[in-house]
Amino acid sequence: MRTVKMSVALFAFWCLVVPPEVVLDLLVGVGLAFGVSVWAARFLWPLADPFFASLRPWRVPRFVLQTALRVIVASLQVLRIVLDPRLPIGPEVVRHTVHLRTDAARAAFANLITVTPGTLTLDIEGDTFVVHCLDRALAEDLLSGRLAMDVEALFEGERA
Amino acid sequence: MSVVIVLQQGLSVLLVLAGVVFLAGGTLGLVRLPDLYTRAHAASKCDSVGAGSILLGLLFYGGVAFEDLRLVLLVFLVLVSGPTTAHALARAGFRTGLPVGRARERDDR
Repeated sequence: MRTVKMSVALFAFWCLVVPPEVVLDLLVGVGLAFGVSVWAARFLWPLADPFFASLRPWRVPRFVLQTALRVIVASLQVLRIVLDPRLPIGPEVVRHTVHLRTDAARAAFANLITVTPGTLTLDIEGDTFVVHCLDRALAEDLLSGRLAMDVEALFEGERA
Repeated sequence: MSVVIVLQQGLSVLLVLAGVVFLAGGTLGLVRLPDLYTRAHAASKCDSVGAGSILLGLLFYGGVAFEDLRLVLLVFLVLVSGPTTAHALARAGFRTGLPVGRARERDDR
């Protein structure tokens, strides 16, 4: 059933990228969509099956908006640092420990840190996120726990 | 009717201009910042926001059509691939023991 669903989604994607003009385009699209789905079902899904089970889909739009705002604000801060003749950076590595229950939440948190300008996830050591920041001031959202709260709200069974 | 078009294209031009500013800033950062980690910041973030902003601007320019879904896909791709690359590079540096800090000062010694 999931294979069929994925085939349909992939075929829609194909139609978007290659607007079919002749019958052959359609046939190749159907063939590829089905082939890739079967391949994914065989090799990819066993690894990641319950990965997004705890995601709360209705929280996604708010999360995306929040993140977009953060990214824009932080981009402006980075831009100001780069344009400043004195180049006022204080690069350092900070370690921040947050306990997240699922791997999906941890991956989301690590990626959220990376997407926010000025902070970059280097590595994860258990519950500790090793983060490089361009300047301590840019890591404030992370160290105050505001970023973690965003992610906890997005997933089922986390603290928030 | 024409007011709508003026607003729409104005918004589009503003978004593209903002994108150009971010891209220029990212490039400047790439040149000015001292080491791999800090450069990864500039190259990935400012460029993603810049490219995303330009593509959004293009989205508004001609009015919304089916073809524009492709632009949305592109925005998504740029926003995902930029930070992923930055993370991969920085982690490679971290795991191989590249020192964090002011590389420029170290060079002076």
